[in-house]
Amino acid sequence: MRRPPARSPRRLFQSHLLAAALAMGCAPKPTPVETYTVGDRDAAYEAQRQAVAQADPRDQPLEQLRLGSMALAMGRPDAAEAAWRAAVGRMTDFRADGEFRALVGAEDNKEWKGEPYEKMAAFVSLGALLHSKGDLDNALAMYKSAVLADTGSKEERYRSDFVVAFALQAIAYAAEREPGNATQAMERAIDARVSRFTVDTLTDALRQLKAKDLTAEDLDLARALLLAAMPGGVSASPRDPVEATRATVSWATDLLKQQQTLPKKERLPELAPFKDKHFGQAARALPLVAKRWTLAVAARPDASGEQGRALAAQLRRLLTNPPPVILVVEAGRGPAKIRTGDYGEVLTIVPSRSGGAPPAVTLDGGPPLASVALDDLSYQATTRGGRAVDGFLKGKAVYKDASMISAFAFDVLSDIAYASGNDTLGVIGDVVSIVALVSSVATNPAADIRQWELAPNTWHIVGIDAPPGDHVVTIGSRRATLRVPARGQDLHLIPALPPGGPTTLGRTE
Amino acid sequence: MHRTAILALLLVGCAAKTKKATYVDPDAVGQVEGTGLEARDIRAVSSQMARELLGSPMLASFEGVPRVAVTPVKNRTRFLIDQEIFTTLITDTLVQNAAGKVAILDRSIVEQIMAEREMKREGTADHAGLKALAGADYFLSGEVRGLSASTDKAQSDYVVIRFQLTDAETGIVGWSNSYEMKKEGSWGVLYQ
Repeated sequence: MRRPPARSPRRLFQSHLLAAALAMGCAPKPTPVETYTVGDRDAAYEAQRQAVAQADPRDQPLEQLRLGSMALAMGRPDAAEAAWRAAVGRMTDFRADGEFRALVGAEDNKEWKGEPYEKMAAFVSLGALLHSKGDLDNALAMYKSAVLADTGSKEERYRSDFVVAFALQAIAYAAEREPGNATQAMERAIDARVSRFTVDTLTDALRQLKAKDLTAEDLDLARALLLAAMPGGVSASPRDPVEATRATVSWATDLLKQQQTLPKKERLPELAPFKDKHFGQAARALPLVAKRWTLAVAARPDASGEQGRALAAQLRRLLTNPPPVILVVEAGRGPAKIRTGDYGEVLTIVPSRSGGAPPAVTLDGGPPLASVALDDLSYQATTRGGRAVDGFLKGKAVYKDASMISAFAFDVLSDIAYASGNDTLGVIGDVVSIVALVSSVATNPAADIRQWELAPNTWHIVGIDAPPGDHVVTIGSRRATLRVPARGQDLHLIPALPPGGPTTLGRTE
Repeated sequence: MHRTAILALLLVGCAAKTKKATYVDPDAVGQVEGTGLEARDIRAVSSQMARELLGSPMLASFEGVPRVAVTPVKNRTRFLIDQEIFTTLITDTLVQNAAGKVAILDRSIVEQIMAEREMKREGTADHAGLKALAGADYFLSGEVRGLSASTDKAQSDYVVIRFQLTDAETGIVGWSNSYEMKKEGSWGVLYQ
């Protein structure tokens, strides 16, 4: 048998060179966000504009958000406004491309509308931008939308606590000469901010209780009941931890009666695993645990609520002594989404590693100005609880392992049929069997981790009280000319993304 | 050649089918489905309001031709609203249907009007005759308010659009009316 001719070194070299060239050509190009991050901002901006123009409708809202972030950072507020308006319009639209494809295929086949925290950030960003342009009515609309996007969470203890939205609402109402609404909104901002100290104090004290004169199980059951009741208790008394414990205990007593009568899937998450006997155990343990808990909270150094009162005073001063200029300073980059679970089916949100301490703001070479920390997007993102889609993805994962037709999958298919007006899909029996058979083979349970990477992590307010005219303001390492108005109040949104917005803040009088 | 012609026809045909924007009736249900105000809501309300206002006893009993200044509509909902669209539609509908019985004043360009008047009086611009600036007998003002509720499954918005006609001398509200609508929408299961 003849041996094949040996390849010459020259031919080997040529084939390796060809392979390398192919590999370089096939290597993934950096995304516009990546290009922006490494500093080539003009190229990144143009690439992002192209991305918006060419994006599949399912990705349009997200690409528009990214474009808006870049535009604002590069000092193009009109372009930012146009992009964010387009994004927000689609994010609030009930219609969505690709829902059925996402049901039986990858979740990222569906139109991106953002997690609740991304909607909140988008609404507040657009609102602050409109506010800076003097469109107070529409700014108020966006702040209200941001608050509404923070409702509907399963974990009620964190319902509607988006401080930055309430605080900016208050400032806008004050500018519109509606002092009653302004005060009301600011008090809600204070409640939302201060209640976090209260919740931390209460949960920490509850965690540290020891099982003295109680079984460990009884203590855990009483703890679960008190945790479930805490949203109601803290809402009743957000600024006073000791009063909040008393209100929580009162709520817990009501919950005991109510939750026992509900099926497990309708109960609060903390009480869903309870069996009937557990309610009795919790009821017997509650008085002793409540008494110890209240004493523990009262003994804590932060029980007086002093921290909250100081913050409240700072926020109220924005209304009682309004400065001519307010800077809303963003800092850091928002949280990240990753896939976890056996099949990558669970969407997990990782808090920001960039923190979010604000840059120091100085005026005319003076010392750093005081800033008030308003909110943390990572906190908002990680405290919303599970989503129904997680359950579905888990269902899809189980779909692979377990029986092909599940009651849950059937309910979901019926829901899609109803939403799309397609009665054919609502037919039970054979159609479901066929779909289930196909789906169990084709299903891709991976969670959708498309994300608005350029969202900020924190918001801070800096009030600037200076005489009318031009001043030099530094925000971190950035310098800008600040025009202080002779009348009224200007608000400027200072993006975290470099270069950090325009070099002149304020209008020519 | 034959194949080239067929290919060219196919390409043209495909290009023709890829047209994505089409004209739609402003009063038709839109492709975008939210619970906020849409074009047809604003048109319907403006039209109804104009009819009712023009037929109101306050205007009907005015001696002479009443002058009404339309002020921008205040937005107190959670929706982005272009207030100028509202003002424009109301002004147009009133002007078209008033048949000379009501004079509509445009106060949005009052600065330009004052500048023009000054130029005429200084002699910088010629004129066909100087006139007094028309004072408003009434202000027509409006506001849009909303009550929103949301869960992780659904959203509902109750919107009230209210207009009132206020006497510019006395401050008395001589006419007012509210137009309400409620919309509900539910998120698909994948968005809950």
